Amino acid sequence: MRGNQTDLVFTDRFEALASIAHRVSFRILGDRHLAEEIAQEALARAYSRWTKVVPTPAERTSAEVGDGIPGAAPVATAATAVAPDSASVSAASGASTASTTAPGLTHATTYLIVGVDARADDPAIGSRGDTIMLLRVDPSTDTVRLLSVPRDLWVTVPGSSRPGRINATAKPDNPEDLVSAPETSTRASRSTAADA
Amino acid sequence: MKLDGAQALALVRSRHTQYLVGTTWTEDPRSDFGRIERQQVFLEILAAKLLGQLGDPTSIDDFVSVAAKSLVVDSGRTSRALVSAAWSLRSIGIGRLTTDTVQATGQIVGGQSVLVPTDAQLADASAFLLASPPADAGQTDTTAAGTTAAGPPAAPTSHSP
Repeated sequence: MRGNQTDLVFTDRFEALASIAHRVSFRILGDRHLAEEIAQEALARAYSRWTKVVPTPAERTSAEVGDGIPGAAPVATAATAVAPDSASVSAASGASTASTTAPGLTHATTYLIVGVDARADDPAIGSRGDTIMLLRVDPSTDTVRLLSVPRDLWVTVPGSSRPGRINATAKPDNPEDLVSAPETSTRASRSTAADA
Repeated sequence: MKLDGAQALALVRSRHTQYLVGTTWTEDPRSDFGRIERQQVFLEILAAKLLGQLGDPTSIDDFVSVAAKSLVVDSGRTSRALVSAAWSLRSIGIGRLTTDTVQATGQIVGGQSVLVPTDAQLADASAFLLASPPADAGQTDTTAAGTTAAGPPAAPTSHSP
């Protein structure tokens, strides 16, 4: 029976999940009591929707077979490889209020993803945005859009009257410039200011 | 085909990639646009693979912890932003991902080789990102055609005037 199975799996993993939920909540909120409350509510919700949270073994297998790339090992290496030397992800997140509902985004959010070309052994090069992408995730329309911006794109940087290459604006010590450059160029909206 | 970390890095960074055409190696003439296309295809495959692995809250938390070591993230909502994005991407599904690139024309400006976009090209890029219908509903516009490997872009669904 499905219900019993769910109970078994849930009990089995409850301890681990409770610890993680509390840890994550605390990391985000910085408040131990609030974190405990949130963790409890999260687990209560997880329990009520448990069959949706954890795919059954059959679903999991088909997902892995489906993408045609065997083996789990390369995932971690590849993930780090995407960031050339160091990558800076500027999250233009609009979720400014502490939400206790679903962990996903509550509204459309645009992320600026920058691969920074900086070499420790050659500081003379300085640092420039080498790969620039805007990722927009819109839960209201279920769309995910990735827009690449060529590094040699000729744009007018805000606060300057003279145009320049967009990648020259990507300085790690001043990511705000790069955030505003594509915003001006493509009028991509950014719901809240990133913490400076 | 499976790449290790170093091979993957070379693939997504190289601006002078050679493809085996017949029996000769030919350089990809598209330079940065070619590189962007390889990055998009790579990320698409990586994301699909990754989201298949993020089956429960434990794995998402673990992944964000690992990824955070290789990324510099905005101060403030670090974990929250990444975890939220991962959850949303997982529930929306990678099949809904479309990709595009800001189009521009190569020119020499002040001795530099740069890409100069037109206002229309920037507007197309903006419309694509915001998933809004193109500003001009004309048929001449082909620049917004996505280079997605996952099917046609979802933008031109609103064919009604």
